[in-house]
Amino acid sequence: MSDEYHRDVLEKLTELVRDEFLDGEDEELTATTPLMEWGILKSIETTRLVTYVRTEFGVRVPPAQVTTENFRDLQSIAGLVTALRG
Amino acid sequence: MEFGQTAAQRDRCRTIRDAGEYDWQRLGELGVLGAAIPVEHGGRGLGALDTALVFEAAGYGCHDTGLIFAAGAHLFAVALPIAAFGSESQKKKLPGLCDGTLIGANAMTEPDAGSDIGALKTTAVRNGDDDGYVLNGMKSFVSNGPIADVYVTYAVTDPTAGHLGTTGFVVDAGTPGLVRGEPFGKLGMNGCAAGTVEFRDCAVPEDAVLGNGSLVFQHGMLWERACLFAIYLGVQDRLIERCIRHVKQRKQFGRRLSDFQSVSNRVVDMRLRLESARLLLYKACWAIDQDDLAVLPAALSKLAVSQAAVQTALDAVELFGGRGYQTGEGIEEHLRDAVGGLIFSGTSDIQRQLAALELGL
Repeated sequence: MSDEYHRDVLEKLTELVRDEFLDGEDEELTATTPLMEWGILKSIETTRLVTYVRTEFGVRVPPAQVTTENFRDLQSIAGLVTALRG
Repeated sequence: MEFGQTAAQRDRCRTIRDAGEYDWQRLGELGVLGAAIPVEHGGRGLGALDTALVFEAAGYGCHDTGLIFAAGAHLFAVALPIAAFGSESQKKKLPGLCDGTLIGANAMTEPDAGSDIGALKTTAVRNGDDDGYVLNGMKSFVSNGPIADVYVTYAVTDPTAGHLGTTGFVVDAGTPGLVRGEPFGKLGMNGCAAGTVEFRDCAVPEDAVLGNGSLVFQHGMLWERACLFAIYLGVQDRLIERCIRHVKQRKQFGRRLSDFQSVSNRVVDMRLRLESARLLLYKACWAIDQDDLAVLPAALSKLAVSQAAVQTALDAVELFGGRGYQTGEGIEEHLRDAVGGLIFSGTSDIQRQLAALELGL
């Protein structure tokens, strides 16, 4: 169940980043693409992503959890959402 | 609440202390400076909506909008972040920030970074073997900067981590290497001094660290976009009252101005804009208080209030005619004070960008 949830979260987050942040140009986007390092997640995109997680998955990301480790790539964000869901 | 000097009395004063230290302390006594700070740290412990009501009242009652703006910058971008993220020793500054003994300034904006915290150039590098950091960089527009006692500032600590690689710091005035400039001349808000703050090999202890720069900054900005702009609601309320008195008294062609439908319609539209913007602002504050999603409501509120303030001030100048255009009447200053609202706390374009992203566009 948790694996299935994690996959679903990862899929939807990938869709969000590809469609809204990269204008559908996703040739190199993978679960381990370094989002911060490549400048894909800037401050307003991060804010949007946190809002999306709350509306789409009902998961509130506490400010203290918005760290470079947790937001390094899509896989780590999906892991955070899965963990916060409990 | 009636205080603050009028434009004529102020004679273009440039700092809070020029404007009268008494007024700053009065804001402390009234609870404005510490409205949203927990009671145990010397504040009033109010939520966002109640804090907005305090600032709305201050905007209505104080003749010096720049002074109230200085109070907003002090509370939302300095005292509140310290209360929310600060260490116990940093929080010891809060009683002084709440009662008006201290003045706070937010040193964020740089020549190449306004709202984009990921574009900061100021660096904070580990101070050799000692604990702490060395700050280097230029902050180009710091409200309260020339006169503050306490600065909250932001610097890059991990260049590979984008906006999350920034750190917020609390730095005291007088720290060697913190160099502040003279107050700028500017269009409006002249009761609030603004200038540059430069860090030149400015060594700060480990305890100066406030927290992740992006989180601290976003937190302060959210409150600022919602609550601080309540000042403009109070100002517009006062201005519309003046306009109504004026158009009922002044006669042209043997009739009161208010008898001309184009005039009365203009006043009705001013009121409509104010009431609409007020509801948006209250909604944004309510969302913060309910820990609900507040980014979109705060962006829409900031847009509506700032644009209403400019249009209402422009309408007031037209209604007062030549007298409105003259500096002695105290009407044109509202227009000059309102323009800044389109820029600070994120420009109108930034608010639209935030809103568009929140709408999934």
